[in-house]
Amino acid sequence: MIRIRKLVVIAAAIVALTAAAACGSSGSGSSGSSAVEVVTHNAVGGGSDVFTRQMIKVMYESKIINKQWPVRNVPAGDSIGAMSYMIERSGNPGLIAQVTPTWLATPMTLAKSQVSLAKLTPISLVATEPQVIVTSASSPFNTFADFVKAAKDRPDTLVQSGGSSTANDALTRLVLQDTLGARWKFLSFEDTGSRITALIRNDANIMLGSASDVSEQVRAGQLKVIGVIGSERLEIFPDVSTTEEQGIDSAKVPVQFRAVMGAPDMPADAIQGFQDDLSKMVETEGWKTLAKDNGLVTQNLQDDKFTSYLQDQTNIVGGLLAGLGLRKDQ
Amino acid sequence: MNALDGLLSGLEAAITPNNLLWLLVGCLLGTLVGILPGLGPPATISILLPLATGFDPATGLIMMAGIYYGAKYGGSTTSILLNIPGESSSVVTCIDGYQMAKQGRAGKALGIAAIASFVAGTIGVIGLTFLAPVMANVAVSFGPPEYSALMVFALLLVIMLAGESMLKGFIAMFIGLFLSTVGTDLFSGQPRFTGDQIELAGGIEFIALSVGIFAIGEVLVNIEDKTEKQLFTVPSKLRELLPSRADIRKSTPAMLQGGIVGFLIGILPGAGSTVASFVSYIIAKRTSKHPEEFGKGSIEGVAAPEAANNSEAGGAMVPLLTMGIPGSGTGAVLLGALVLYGLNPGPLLFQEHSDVVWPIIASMYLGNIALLVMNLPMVPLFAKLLHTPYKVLYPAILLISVVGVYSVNFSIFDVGLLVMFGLLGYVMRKLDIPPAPLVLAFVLGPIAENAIRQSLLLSDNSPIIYLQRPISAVLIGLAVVLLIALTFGRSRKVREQVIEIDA
Repeated sequence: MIRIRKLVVIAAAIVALTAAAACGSSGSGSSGSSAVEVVTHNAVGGGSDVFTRQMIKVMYESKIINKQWPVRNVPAGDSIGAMSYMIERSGNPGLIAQVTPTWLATPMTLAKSQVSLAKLTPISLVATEPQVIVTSASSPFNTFADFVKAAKDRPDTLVQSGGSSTANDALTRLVLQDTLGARWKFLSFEDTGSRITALIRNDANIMLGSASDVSEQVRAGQLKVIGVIGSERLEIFPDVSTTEEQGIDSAKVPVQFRAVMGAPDMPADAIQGFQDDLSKMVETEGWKTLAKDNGLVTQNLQDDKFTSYLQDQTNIVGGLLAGLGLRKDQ
Repeated sequence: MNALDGLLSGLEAAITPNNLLWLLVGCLLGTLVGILPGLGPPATISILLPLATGFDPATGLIMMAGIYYGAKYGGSTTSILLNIPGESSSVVTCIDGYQMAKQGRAGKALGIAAIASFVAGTIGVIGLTFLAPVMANVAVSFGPPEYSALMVFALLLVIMLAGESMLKGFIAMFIGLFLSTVGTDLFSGQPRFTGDQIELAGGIEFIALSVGIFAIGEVLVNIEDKTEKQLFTVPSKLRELLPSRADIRKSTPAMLQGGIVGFLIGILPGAGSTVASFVSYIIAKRTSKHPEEFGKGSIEGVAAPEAANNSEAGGAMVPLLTMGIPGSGTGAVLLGALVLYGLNPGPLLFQEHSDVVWPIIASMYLGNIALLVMNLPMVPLFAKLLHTPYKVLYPAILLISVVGVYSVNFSIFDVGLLVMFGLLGYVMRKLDIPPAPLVLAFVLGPIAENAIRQSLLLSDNSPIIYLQRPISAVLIGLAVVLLIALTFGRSRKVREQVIEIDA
């Protein structure tokens, strides 16, 4: 009987939970409560979800916040669901989201999108996450320039493993192919694990990803990093040269960023509060370790700086998607 | 540290009152969420993450792993009692499990599911303990051509689930393959068959499809009968509620075979447990002394897929712990948890954090024992639920289905899909088209499509790539042999029937 009773309790809890969720979606905004909730577009365990939880953990452990903020995962529609959730709750002073370039790109690929990143309230662009170029440890390429040279000699034979064709690594390939006049193939996989095993198996020659995706395999000697895209070296791979140093122009490459944005029409004092919290966070040791381990470059761009950065990225990504014929919002 | 030393030290670390307590909590929670469709282990673990990150890493991960494999024990309950498969790996269990329930053998089905889960779960953990490093290489060597070949093989086996008419099996499979193409194409980023519905951009929600076709379709057909007849016969004697010695003896080969198959296929990231569950079902059917019982309430037909499904838990831990590559949704959550504990899952995890990894593995042996002890006494209670008159039972099934489907994405659109697939399930039953091939093809379709397209991209559209790689060549060879055997087997059966008629 204990089991049955438990079942009833769980069932009741679920009914209550769904009821709460249903009520939540109808009563938008005017709650006025100071409870904070952080939205991510990843399911639990996804890159963005884990980063969000790590960030909250750093703030909690360094006593910037006195309670761990709950994370709400809204994976539906690859950021569209999450953005809709934010927009339905306009004016909510406690609702923030951890935003990545996916939030910028996905609405552009829809003909009649009801949502866009422009509707959310900018708070801070916490960090950028420069992509690193990796290859298997036994690969003949020791720099990205080596790879580019080989790709020029043998067009469309070398292979880059990556995500979907609208993901950052795929868009980066388009920019690099154009600026370098080299051509190579792109092999799409759903998950990072498959992209890495494709390198180890020699099905693919390079992969672009964040440092945190590959740092353990690099440490174990399975993969090696042959370049960091951009102009700044990463603390986690201090010996790896940047594409700039290798003589490769990467100014027009879309940048992977990690930003925090609020619900539309968030009150000014709430924005200020979150900006202060984040400014304190990026000074903590906990954050510095997190940033180093994940290959992040701390930015903490706020207000106008954030807005204009976002505008630049919108133009870059929008132009690339239009070139692919995937831009539907215009 | 060799495996045996590691295991012993892990056991020592796992058997503290605190760890045991959280292990039991994890197993119990897992069983409960496994019973309910929709709220799966990933959602449960995510709710518990803020609590669990306050624990010592080993304790937290022991609990979370308990939720993972505990859910597999619970997963069979709704499949058998209500024909509701809560996850893709329970689809096959519905076939014979629900038939057994209808015949008043629900208790035996639930009992054998728990026992098979225990036996195979333990086989899976033994495999994880002693074969992890070797098996990790297998997982790495499975690339696009190998997956393509495996999927060709798997889809052929799916047809074999069809039962009487192979044509109807094909029809079901093709509908399933078509439905699996709905959503955003991975390669081009283009939406396919979404009708500009943003809800369909990520594809059709599996739970809405499977619960609609299985559970709602079944309810609709039964309501139509309008009779007051008792749908399930339930024996009143307690002894008849549990599997007998003879039942267990009969199911033993299926359990062992399922355990091994489940572990081996479970290692492959992607569709591990689903493919494992029906591969082992087919093997059980082919090797059984009573193949004619399959599809009509065979106890072996419950034991084999449940065994495979549970030993997959051990298999799926192999790429997670040896390479930091999650093989499933739950694996991804556990990976996230490892990161939050600052453990950096990757190839060095076993070496650098053996003090965390070994207690988790050791706890899985204990957890499987705990789950058997927890689950067996509950079997008669669950079986007696079927005494419920259908006037109460059907609304309850509908309620559980709607709440379960809604709770996955909190999406009313998904509930609409549930209704649509319920109607499809009803029509299929009317036309005698089997639902299992549709649902399985839906799961396998995207893996097959992606793997085939990836392979052809690698080979510049030359199909020779499937024969150039050894694993893929062997699998293709097996598929050809299977196809021949299938054709030959059919004609022999037809011949036998002709002879019988003559006689």
